[in-house]
Amino acid sequence: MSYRYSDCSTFAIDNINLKIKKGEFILITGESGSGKTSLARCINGLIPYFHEGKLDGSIKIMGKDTQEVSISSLGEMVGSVFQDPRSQFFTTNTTEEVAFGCTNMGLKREEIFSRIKKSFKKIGIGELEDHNIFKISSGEKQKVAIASCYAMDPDIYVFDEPSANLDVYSTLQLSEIMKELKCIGKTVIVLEHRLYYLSQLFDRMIFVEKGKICREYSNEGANALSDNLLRKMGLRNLNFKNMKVPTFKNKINSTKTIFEADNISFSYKTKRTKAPMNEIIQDLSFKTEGGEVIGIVGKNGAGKTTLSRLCCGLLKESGGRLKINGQIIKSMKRQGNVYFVMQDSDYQLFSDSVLRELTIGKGKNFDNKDKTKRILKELHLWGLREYHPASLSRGQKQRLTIASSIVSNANIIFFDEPTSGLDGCNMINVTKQLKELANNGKIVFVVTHDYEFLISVCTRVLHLMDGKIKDDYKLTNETRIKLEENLWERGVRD
Amino acid sequence: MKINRKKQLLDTRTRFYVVTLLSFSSFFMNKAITAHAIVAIAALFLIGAKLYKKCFYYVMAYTAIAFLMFLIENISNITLMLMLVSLSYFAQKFIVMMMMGNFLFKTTSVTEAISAMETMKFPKEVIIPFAVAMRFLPSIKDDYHHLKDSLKIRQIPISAGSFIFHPVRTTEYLIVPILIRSFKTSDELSASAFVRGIERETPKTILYPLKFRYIDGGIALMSTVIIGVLYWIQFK
Repeated sequence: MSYRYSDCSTFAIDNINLKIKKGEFILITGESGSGKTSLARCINGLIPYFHEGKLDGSIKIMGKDTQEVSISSLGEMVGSVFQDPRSQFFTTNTTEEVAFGCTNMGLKREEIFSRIKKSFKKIGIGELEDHNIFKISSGEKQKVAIASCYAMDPDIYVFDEPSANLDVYSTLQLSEIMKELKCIGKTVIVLEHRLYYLSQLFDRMIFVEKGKICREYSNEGANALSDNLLRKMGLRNLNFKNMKVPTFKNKINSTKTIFEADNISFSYKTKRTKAPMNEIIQDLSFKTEGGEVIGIVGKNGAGKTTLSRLCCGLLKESGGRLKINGQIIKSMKRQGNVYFVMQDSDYQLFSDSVLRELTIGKGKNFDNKDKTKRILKELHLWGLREYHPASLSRGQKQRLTIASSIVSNANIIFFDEPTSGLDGCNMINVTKQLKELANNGKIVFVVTHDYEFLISVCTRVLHLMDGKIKDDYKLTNETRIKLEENLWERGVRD
Repeated sequence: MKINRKKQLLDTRTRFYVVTLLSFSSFFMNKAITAHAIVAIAALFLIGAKLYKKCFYYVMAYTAIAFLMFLIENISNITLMLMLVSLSYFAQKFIVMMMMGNFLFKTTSVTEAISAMETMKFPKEVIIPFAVAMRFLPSIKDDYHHLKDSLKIRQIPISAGSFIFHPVRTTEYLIVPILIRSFKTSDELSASAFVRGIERETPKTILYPLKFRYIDGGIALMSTVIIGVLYWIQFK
C-alpha cells in the first residue's frame, strides 16, 4: 500500500505491507515525520476520506475495504485517540463528549448513560464527569478522550502519541488501561516516541523510516536493543536502567546572575476552588544562580505552571518578593527579563519569516545581524530564514522559540514541557541547546515530566507539591533514585 | 446517575426562538424608546442566566452610546453627525446581538443545540457548521489569552488601545496566529468528529430530552407580545 498527500510530491507512506492480527498489541515508532501519523490515518479511514491524496493498494479492516465502507461505520470498529487533546473535543462538556460517539450511533439513552458511567470509572476519572473542558488540564483531557473512545466500544484502538501531555503517573495509568484493553482481546495500535511505558506490553515493534517499514522486532528483540543503537535510530530508551547522569563542567567566569524567590505566595482571586486546575503557591523560597539547569517536577496541579507564570511576571505575587541580583523586581518589570518558552510554539510565533521573528518588538534601531545569524546557524535554522514560521515542522518551530529566547537577552529562562512530542533525536538537540544556555551563564528552568530529559539535562531538581517545595536537591547519580521516586509517586489527589 | 442534568428553566427551542426574535427585531428598532426597551429585555434574559457581570458591561456600553447620541445634536457638521449616528446604530444592534449570543452560549451546550436543531428539522448543512462555531468561539478566547501572554514576554503589550493605535501590527501579531491556529484546530476537530460518526444518516440519540412546559409558552408569548408592541410603537 502506498499513499501520497495531494500537495506533496513524495510518498508519505511508501509501499507498506502490514498485517495485524486480532488482539495484537502493535507499537509503531520512528522519527518525527517518518509517516507514523499517516499510517494511523489509513487505519481509521481519515485517509482517503478526509485527507485528499493518492492511495494505491488497499486497506482492509476486519475483511472490509476502508474505501468501500463509510467513515462513520469504520469509526465504530476503530477508535482513535489523537495527539492534541485540545482539538479533538467536539463538545464543551466532558460528559457530553464521552456521549458524543454513542449519540451518533443512535444508542438508547439509558444505554449511553450506563456506558458513560462505565467509561469514566474504567479510565479512573470519575471526578471529571460533567466538567467544562476549558477548565481541565491537558492530561485530564487526554483521559476524557480515551474514555469517549472506550464508550463506543470499538474492536481496534489507535493511539497517536497519547502520552505527550501526561505526567509520569498518568502515563503509567495509561499503560494499565492499555494492558486491560489487550487482556479483553482488543487490538491496540500505538504510535509513540516515549517507549518506556510500553516496553512490557507490545507484541511487535515496527520501526518506520521515510514512509517505509524499516525493521520489525518482537518484544524480546526490541528490549534487547542497546541504548546506543536506539539513539542511532533516533529513538528513545525502552528502559532507564542504564541511564547515567552526565557530569557537568561549569565554565562560567563572568559575574553570575542570581535569582531568588523569597516567601512568595499566590492564589487566584476568583472562586475557582472547584476547578481541578486550581493551583496556589504558598510561602515558597529558593535561590538559584547562573549555570544551573533546574528541573521543576511534581504532579499535574502541583503549582508548576503557576510558579513559572509568577516568575515571568504574567501573574502578580500576593506576598513575598522576587529578586534578580539582590534587587526586588516587580511583576511588570519581570516580563521579558525572565523569559518564558511555552509548550505550544504555535502561540509564540508572530512574524512572517524566521529571520524577522527574531527582530520583532525590538524597534527600528535593533541592529544585530551578526548575532541573529549566529544563533540561527547554531540552531540549524539559517537555511530556513525566509520561510514562514507556520510552515516549519514541530521541532523546527520549537528551535525557533528557543532562538527568540536567546535573542531576548533575558538571563533567566523558563521552559514549559520543551520535549513533549519530540523523538529521541530532537530531544537530544533540545538538551544540547539548554546546556549551551546554562554554559553562557543563564539560569534555565524546565517544567517537565520527561524522565529521560531530566536525567540528561538538569543539575538540580525542585519538587513541588500542593504549591510548596517538597524537595530541592542537586541531581547526581545518587539522588537519581529520589527523582524516580518523586516522579513515580502517587499524589495526594489519587 | 445523572440522567437529568440541572433543570433548565426554558426548553432549548424556546431559547433559540427568543434569541432569534430579539436579535432580528433589534434591526428595526430605531426610535430611542424602542431601542432602549429591547436592550432592557435582553438584559433581563442575561440576568435570568446569571450573567450579571456581562449584563452590567453591555448595559453600561449601551448607556454610554445612548448618552453620546443625546449630545450629538450639538455637532454642527452634518456629515460628521450622520456618520456618528449610523455608527452608533450599528453598535447598539451589535450589543443586543452580543447579549443574546452570550445568553445562548451560557445556557446551551453543543449537544443540546444539535438535538434541538435536529428536532426542528434543520438541515445537516446548517447544524454541523453551527455546532462547530459553538465549539470554536470559546477556543478562540483561549488562543487569544495564550497569545497575549506570549506577547507580554516579548515585551509587546496588547490592549484594546493597540487595536486603535497600531491596527496593522496588532492584526499581524494577533489575528494571523489565531487564524493559522484555527485552520489547524478546525481540521483536527472535524477529523475527530468524522471518526465518531457525526455524518451518520440514522437519527442521533437525544441525550437531554426536550420538553415544552407552561413557562416556555409564557416566556415565548410574553416576548412576542412585547416585541409586537415595540414594532407598533416603531412604525405607527
